Amino acid sequence: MKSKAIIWKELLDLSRDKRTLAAMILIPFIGLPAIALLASGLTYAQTTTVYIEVLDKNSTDIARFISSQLISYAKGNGLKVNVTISNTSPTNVYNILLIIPKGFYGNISNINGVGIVYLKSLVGSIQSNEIESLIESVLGQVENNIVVNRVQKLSNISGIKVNTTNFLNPINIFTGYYLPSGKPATTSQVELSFSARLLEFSLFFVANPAIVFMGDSILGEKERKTLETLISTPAPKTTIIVGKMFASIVIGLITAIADSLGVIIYLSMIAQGGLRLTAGLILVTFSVSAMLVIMTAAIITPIVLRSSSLRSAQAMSYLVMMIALAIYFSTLFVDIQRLPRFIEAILLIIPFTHAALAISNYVLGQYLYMIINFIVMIAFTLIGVYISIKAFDSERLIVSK
Amino acid sequence: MLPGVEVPVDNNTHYSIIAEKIYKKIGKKEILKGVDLKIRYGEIHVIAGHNGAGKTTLFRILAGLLKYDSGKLSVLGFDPNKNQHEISKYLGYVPEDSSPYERLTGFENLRVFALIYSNGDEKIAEKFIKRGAEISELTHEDLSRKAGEYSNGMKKRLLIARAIMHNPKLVLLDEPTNGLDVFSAYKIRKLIKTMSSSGTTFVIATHNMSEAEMLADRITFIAYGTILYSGSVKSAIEDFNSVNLEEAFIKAVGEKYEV
Repeated sequence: MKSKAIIWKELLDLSRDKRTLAAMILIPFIGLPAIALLASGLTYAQTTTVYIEVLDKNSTDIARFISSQLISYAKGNGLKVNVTISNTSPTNVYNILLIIPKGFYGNISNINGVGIVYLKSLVGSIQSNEIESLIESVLGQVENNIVVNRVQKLSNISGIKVNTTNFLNPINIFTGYYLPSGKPATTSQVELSFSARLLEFSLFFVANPAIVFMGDSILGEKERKTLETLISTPAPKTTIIVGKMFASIVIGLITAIADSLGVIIYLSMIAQGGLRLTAGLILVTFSVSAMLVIMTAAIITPIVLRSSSLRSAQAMSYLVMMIALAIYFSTLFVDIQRLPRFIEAILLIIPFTHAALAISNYVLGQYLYMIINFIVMIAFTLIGVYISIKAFDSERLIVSK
Repeated sequence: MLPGVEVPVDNNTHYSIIAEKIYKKIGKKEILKGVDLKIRYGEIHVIAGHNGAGKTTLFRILAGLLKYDSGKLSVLGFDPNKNQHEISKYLGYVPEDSSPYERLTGFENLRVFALIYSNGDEKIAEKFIKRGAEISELTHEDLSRKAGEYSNGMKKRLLIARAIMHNPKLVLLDEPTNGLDVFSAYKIRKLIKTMSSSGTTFVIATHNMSEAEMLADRITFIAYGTILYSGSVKSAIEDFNSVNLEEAFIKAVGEKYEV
């Protein structure tokens, strides 16, 4: 029962380190949603200025149509736009210039004519790109109206009755999603798979605190000059390691929950339509997070034990964190299971991959694979603990500088 | 004797520590060069030497934290290279430059080690804590404060109390009064004298010869990893034809090394 003493001491000691805890818990929990609020607030505060220079007198109505449609589209996308229509060149700097040259109306009125417009965006303006694509959509609508008019003209001339909608859309495309099992996916499953990607990315923030706390628990104690006395007591090295690991896991888990909640709130705020979550997905994500914290503590311990100082342990831990970040960041864009076999095999050797896969396998209804992911994580944990116990060398811990 | 601690006594010898030709290298540097040492049960034995003489390395070997490279060593009848865990049960150790858990109170510091020494038995741990509090001579109010707020003297008293509250057979104190004011150093010396009367063996490393003279039943001079002399304080002074231990030490070192 010596482990009771170690765990009690570690938890008490860590809980008294209020500054570190506050930095690890409150900053991501409050900071990330605050960043999202700030970013969306600033985005909303921006107004994109569009200048439509109409050099063709007959195209004024078209310019007005473009302007009203653009304002309506922008409003629908949460963007503000200010459109100026004039027949003279602009005297100020605008985000976007749309120039309708002389002869435009005449060209589009001719059945074989091609109207030309010039669309110019201000360099380096992110919002210009969004408004530019909206202008292209509005121009597409104008284009559609021109084609409909031309088809109707030809129909009248030829006497052939034409359904303009079918004429313009000869192929109907029905889209849908299906699961790896072959069954059709429901809308809810599609939305959940999107949420799962974001949750997989947030796993990085789950793994991180355990790395920090485990390093401090062993090498921080060495640097605070309390470790030598502790290892001279009858507490076995297994007890010391497991006790420290347990305490780091508890604090790491609390911190990880706060961190990942902060990330989820942040992602919900920046993701259009927010995150769709179900009780099952929350439960699986929580279980994966808990297992990930335990596994990370077990993996990082041998590295900490072989490091000569907290600084060198942090440097090595940074490498582990980068691997975790690479895996979880790539889950935003990459389907690990769809990669070429040899790349997938390499990724499966990395323990962090299985945490991400467990979530995606749950969402895709591949429960057996999800259980295998958990078993692999448990195996990595046990290997980490075994290596840690073998790597515990009191001489190295005391003498190395 | 306190419950929970059964102290073994090696009946085959009067010595709690017997070291024969102990060698130890750390990196490329040879720290101990054939150390021979015998320390009797129940005595206060001072290992006196200059900084870098090998005292701390010797203590760490005695505590089983470092492994000696060659030679023979028995601590309380056990070989530290093979039985560190056995020795640790009957050992109290305060390394040089060690610190209590500064974010924990004095009582909490005592409780951590009391739970370890009592194997998690709360009742025995409570007795150890009570004894530790008495040994430390810190007030209840002080012990309820975080150790980080203590003076150096208070920290050292807490560390020593924490190391001996379970009534160990052997106590290793590495430079116990180093950096302390005269009052704190006096209190610690008094504490060691009191505790040794109950049969505990104290091995104390110091470079302070006045302190060695005040404390030691027997003394060992160590310099550059080699034992120069071992005997009573009185015989050391007489053998080196000196007025005090400091002069005896300087002569002992001077006989072997050019200093």
